[in-house]
Amino acid sequence: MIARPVRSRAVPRMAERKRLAGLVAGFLLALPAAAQDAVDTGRRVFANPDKGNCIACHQVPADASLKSFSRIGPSLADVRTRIPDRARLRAIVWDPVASQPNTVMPPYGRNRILTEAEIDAVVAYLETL
Amino acid sequence: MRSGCWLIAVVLATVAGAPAAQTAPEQDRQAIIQAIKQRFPGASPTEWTIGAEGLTATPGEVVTAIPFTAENATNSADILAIGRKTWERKFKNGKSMAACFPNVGKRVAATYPQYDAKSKQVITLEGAINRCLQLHREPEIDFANQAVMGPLSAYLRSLSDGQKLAVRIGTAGARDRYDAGKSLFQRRIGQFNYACASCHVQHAGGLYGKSGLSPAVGQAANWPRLEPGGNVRTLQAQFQRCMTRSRAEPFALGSDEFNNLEYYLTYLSNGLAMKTLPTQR
Repeated sequence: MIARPVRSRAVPRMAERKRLAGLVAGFLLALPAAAQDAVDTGRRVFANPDKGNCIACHQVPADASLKSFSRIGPSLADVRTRIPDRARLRAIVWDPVASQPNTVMPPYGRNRILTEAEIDAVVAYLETL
Repeated sequence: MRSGCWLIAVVLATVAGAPAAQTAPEQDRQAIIQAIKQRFPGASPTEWTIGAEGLTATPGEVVTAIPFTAENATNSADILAIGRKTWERKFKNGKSMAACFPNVGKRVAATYPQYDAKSKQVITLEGAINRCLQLHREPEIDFANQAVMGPLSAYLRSLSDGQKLAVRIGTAGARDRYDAGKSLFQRRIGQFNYACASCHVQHAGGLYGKSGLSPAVGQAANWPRLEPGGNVRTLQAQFQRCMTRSRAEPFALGSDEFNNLEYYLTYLSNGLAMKTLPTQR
């Protein structure tokens, strides 16, 4: 017996179309929310002395509520313009010594100070500055 | 290459982990002074004994020195009085700590740490206090017992206030200990990968969070220090704090590692006047 191929409908019925539209809308709404969560997490990691403690050395002019007077590290203004390549930015956070042997910035990934997810979150936060 | 650039290259190369050149101690001292002066022209090492505040930095970058107040003075006086009480306490044999030091302890602290050729070890002032207690069959003071060792060390050092540090690196054995201390000073350690030199040479005068980074030259002249709340902290206890900040497992107080480091670091302040319990921080 030869099975008859199921004919796919090129145009879904109205009910299915509504359901699909809802799914797409939900996805589009969830994406920015997830991205915002990453930024918030990254900000917390950035400022937390028990995590990244990046604030101890860097100024963040775009984030008025995080005060730092330190100039040990460069001011983190316009990070996205200065380092548009996300992979390169992430690599600096992961192990800055690899590209700048004299830097005192900790190798957050190489020395497992932060998790990979936390590093992603910090990068997401840096890109908002 | 200009000589200043060469000096900085030596300091940075060693911070970066390259093998330390076997330079003479006085050359090491001058190299660090010049490296810091490159960033703070006109700064004088005689002002560095008060810490980061002694460097003329960009406004807003360096913490303001906490001024002497009646409260600070009272704390200092109280701490020294506690130390003096321990110093004058009679041993079971009728003697006291003063019997172990020349000139009843006056003007002796400036020559510590010293290298002991017999044991081939560095003896810090706190180490000499415990040797004294050992000699007189008295219980030693735990180096970590800052509430007792801190004031006692502060009192004994206060008898040398104004004296210029004069640590000797006179023999090959002493030089070995000095080089070991220098090596530790320059070694990157801990998860955060900091060396002592990262903060106290490369970024001396800057701020780490809210903490001013004191220059390596001058540091040893002003310990122990009073902290907010009236606690005393010895230099080696500060080493432990620094290692913890670098997320490294700290060496024990009184360990060979810390004694060698104190030997090296104190040599760097040779010629600078001692001042005990100078500020709170």
